[in-house]
Amino acid sequence: MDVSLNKDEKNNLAPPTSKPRSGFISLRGHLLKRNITWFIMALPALLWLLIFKYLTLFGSWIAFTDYKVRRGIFGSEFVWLDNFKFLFATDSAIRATRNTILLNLLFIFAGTVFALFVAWLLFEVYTSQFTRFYQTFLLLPRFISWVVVSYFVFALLSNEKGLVNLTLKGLGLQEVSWYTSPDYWPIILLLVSLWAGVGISSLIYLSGMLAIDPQLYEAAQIDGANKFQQFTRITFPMILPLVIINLLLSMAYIMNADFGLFFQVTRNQPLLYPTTDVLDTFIYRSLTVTRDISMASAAQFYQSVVGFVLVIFFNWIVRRIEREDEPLSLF
Amino acid sequence: MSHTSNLRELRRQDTDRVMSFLGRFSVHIALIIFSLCCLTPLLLIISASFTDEIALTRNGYSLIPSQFSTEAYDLIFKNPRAILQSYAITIFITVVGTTIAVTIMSLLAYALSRKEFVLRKPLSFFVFFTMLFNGGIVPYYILMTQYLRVQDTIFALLLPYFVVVFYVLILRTYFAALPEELFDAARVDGAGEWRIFFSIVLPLAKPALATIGLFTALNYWNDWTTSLYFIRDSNLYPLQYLLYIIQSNAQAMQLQSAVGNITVGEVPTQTARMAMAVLATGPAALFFLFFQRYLIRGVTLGSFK
Amino acid sequence: MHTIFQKRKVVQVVLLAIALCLTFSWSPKASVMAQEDLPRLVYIYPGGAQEDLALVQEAMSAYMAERIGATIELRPIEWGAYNDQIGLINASGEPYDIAFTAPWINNYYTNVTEEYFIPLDDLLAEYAPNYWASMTPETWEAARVGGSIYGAINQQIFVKPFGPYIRTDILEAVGLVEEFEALTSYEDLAPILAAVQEYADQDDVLTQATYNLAPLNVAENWGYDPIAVDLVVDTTDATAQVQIYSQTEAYRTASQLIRDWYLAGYAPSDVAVWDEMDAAWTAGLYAVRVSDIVKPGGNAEVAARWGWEVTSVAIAEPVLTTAGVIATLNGVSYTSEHPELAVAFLELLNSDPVFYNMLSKGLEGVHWEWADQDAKLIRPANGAASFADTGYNPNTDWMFGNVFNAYYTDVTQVGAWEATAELNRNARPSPILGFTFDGSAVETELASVSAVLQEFGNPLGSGLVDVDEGIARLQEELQNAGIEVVRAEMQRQIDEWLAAKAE
Repeated sequence: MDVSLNKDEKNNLAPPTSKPRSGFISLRGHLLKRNITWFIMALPALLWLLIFKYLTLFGSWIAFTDYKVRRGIFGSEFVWLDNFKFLFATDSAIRATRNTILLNLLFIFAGTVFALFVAWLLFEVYTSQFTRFYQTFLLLPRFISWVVVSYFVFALLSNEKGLVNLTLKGLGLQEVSWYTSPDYWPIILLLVSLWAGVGISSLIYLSGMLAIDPQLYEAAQIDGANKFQQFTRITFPMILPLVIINLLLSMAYIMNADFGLFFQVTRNQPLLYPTTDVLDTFIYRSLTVTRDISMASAAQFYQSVVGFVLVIFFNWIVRRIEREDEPLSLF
Repeated sequence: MSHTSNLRELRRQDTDRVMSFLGRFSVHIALIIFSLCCLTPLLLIISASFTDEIALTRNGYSLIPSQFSTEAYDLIFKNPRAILQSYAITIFITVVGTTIAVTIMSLLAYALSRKEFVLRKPLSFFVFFTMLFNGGIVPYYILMTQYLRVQDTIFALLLPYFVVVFYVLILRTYFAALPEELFDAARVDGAGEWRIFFSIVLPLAKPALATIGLFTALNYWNDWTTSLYFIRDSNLYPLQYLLYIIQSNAQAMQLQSAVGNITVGEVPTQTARMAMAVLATGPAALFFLFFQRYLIRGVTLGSFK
Repeated sequence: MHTIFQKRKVVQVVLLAIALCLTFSWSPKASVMAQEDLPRLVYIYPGGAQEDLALVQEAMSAYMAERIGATIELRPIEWGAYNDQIGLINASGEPYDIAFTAPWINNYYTNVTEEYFIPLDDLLAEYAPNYWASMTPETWEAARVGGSIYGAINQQIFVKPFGPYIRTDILEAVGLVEEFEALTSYEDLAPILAAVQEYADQDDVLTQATYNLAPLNVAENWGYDPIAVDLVVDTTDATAQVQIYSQTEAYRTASQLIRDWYLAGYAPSDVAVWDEMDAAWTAGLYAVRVSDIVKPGGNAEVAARWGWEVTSVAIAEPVLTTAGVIATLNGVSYTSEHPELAVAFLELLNSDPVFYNMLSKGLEGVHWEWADQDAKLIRPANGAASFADTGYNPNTDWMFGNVFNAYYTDVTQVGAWEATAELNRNARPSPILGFTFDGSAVETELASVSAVLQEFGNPLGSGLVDVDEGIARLQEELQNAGIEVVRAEMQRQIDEWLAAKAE
């Protein structure tokens, strides 16, 4: 098996960095013009970001003030980090942060592996008539709101009428009181989130795989590489940039949990909090009485800062290991 | 010798064919299982929506209605205007919003994917930074209602998803992988950046565009939070918001029982909620089946050759 | 050529998009013509879309224009969106005049501490004299926060005489009518529940005696006045010592009853969400609501709402508490340009039955007509089957003003208002009636405590955990969350308030 063949192919495809430019001087002269065109192309989206993201950014200041609308955002009293205290004040608060990070890591890792697997399966039979049906079915969960999901999770797991317990009973096994047993829930929630997300997340990888030059596979087949080897030596390296960018971006949201999943699907059952209470549900619960805007803002700020630091850190790592001709980092 | 080796070669090809068939067969089996996992809950919902309300509560969910009834749909279509209008709104914002969003996102992504673009790094950071930090809902609300003044208009539903940084970065990664020699060749032919973008980059990136387009369309189709904040006019309710409101009204009304007031309106039934879920999902699924063609067409163009 | 074609297509799409946007955004809004020049008040409240809202708004505006020289814009917001939208309207300073508020939706205290509402004391006395005089000074006292009234109280049932409800058919089937009607304590409910459960075990439809046990351990059920989070005052304690409710004997008793009944299988073993339980009650799976507010006309409301004839009996002694009095309020926004007109509008709503019933029942001859004018009984207009079919039926009398002015819609209700007024009058006032806790100094602790209560208190309310262990754990967590800080602050405020009152 000639692995170097892949490398050669790739190098052929990779941009010949300086040669053409030295060959065509006129192209270099147009570089400024091209830069201007690129900037104009970027402009609509940049303007949108400026208005919708940067203009509203000053609102983060609310997190550090005792916000009163009649005094305005900058007229309100500055209270340092008071609004952040409730995020660290109790064991439950610390637990919420811990659960959020651990569950998200689990979801990100398992989600990526599963999405890659499903994308690969779809890729292998992509020309089949059935594939469009598979893809459509896999996407269906995306349309079902968490409330409705919570109904049929309950239909599966409820004590007396639940399908799972009926099955266990039928097999002569001990029934489980699911909604009072926190230990099972990381797995249950993982399964639900995989179920809900795989249709979407596999699409990104599938579109990456579809862009790979089929000749690479033909060459590999001639060399006698089996399907698994084709995956590890061609498919995976080729979509690695997509995987990395996806993982990097997931880090940004590591402190944010899907409220619907954790609130509705667990039915907000307190006995499950030890493993299912995440920041978003904890914040919601803490602020039901006061509905304090400053504290809500502080919580959001906390989530953002942690995500930001993590992304900067991992981006730095990626930059250290990426190849010059194949940038993988975000910036 | 050569004869036996030929025979062996033939046999090897046979085995290959059998293996390849078995391989494909098991791939199909796996995908069928996954599909069923995704399909069954929806079938349960459809079945529930056609079940008599009281029978559903008593007997629970089943794949075949324990007592068939179209009452839920009768209830919803008692006033068909509301739901039809919601369909129109949802389809409109999905089509128009996705078109605009994919256009401006891919333009930005293209610019950011050009290694010779001097502002590439700072602008990448400018773009990426917004993914993490946002000012929260209050400044956003003030912006939308007091400066842009789009509350209770269709614009409020269109604007929020024009740029999703995540998608821009995915597209950028995709564009960056396109072979540079194509661009150089086009430039030699005298093509400007706009022409390169529209006649080389976009056609080659069809699978990626279709994917991002689909994501964006799903965002618009599934969005109810924007309406929750900015839409009061019931003529502008998108489908998913109508569904959300039916559900959350029931929850909000329970609050009154705490103060001894229990006679508010009719709480929508479980079956009606299921019927709404079916109505909100079904057409989108059909649309996706149709949309699939574009993804498949992408395959034939698949390689960067 | 290909590209040109595509370009044209793009242009077409864009043009179509613009055209559609314009049509949607410029759709004409219903407007009142005649009183254009008068100030227009905006009233925001929870409620679904009503077909004839514009009609009612027009009639109300005409009525108001003559009397107070202003018109009204009714702006109902969906129930499920009310908290979110009014919260944003307030926090962003979007102008309006009047909004519905309560401790349980569009939180009244938040509105006061965040300074969204203006004090009404002087305005009420001057611009709403009849309304102001219609309630006793003690009643008005309840709406005071930090010395001022920020919300106009709707006259309705103020007390919470909790007690069990039971389906009459089942009660008769088990033959315990007399025993039920003679109930004086929740402990005595046990044998009835046992009998119903036994009946349920034989019955195909009825699965359990009851479903939601949690209301049993609300503080009002046991003679305590709940102030905030888990802190209460014994209503017989004139010195008003603040106690942690979950430390009291009453809480233990209630939790033990819940636990016993849960273990006995009187309630479903699963956690269910409220709207499902509601559907199940409608479907006849349960027979008893262990603890709910028993009020005049209540049985008829339950029957109309869920389709079961019920019998109920009050067990908790009716006590007049702050929370009960201010269960429904209307506040005036600081953004209002005409607060005096807003208060004049409230005066009309609370003292003019004609005006009030326009808002709560619609227009005579269009939405309702008299069935018996002397009894103030109405029926759907023009032979409509129900009020829901008439095009205007908000069905929230208690939201808009004095419910005692509301026309009866059901013959069994006639006389309920007088009985309710009587109940309010005779109720024993809590020693801290009129006291309101200002939590702004202890916000962190309040957040922590409310999170703890939901985590460790709710399981006790559903019987899922052992009572001794559960209470011990709850106490430990409450202490860690800083409940003593909140209690000390609350006691300080109460002592100050009592001292000020004594002067």
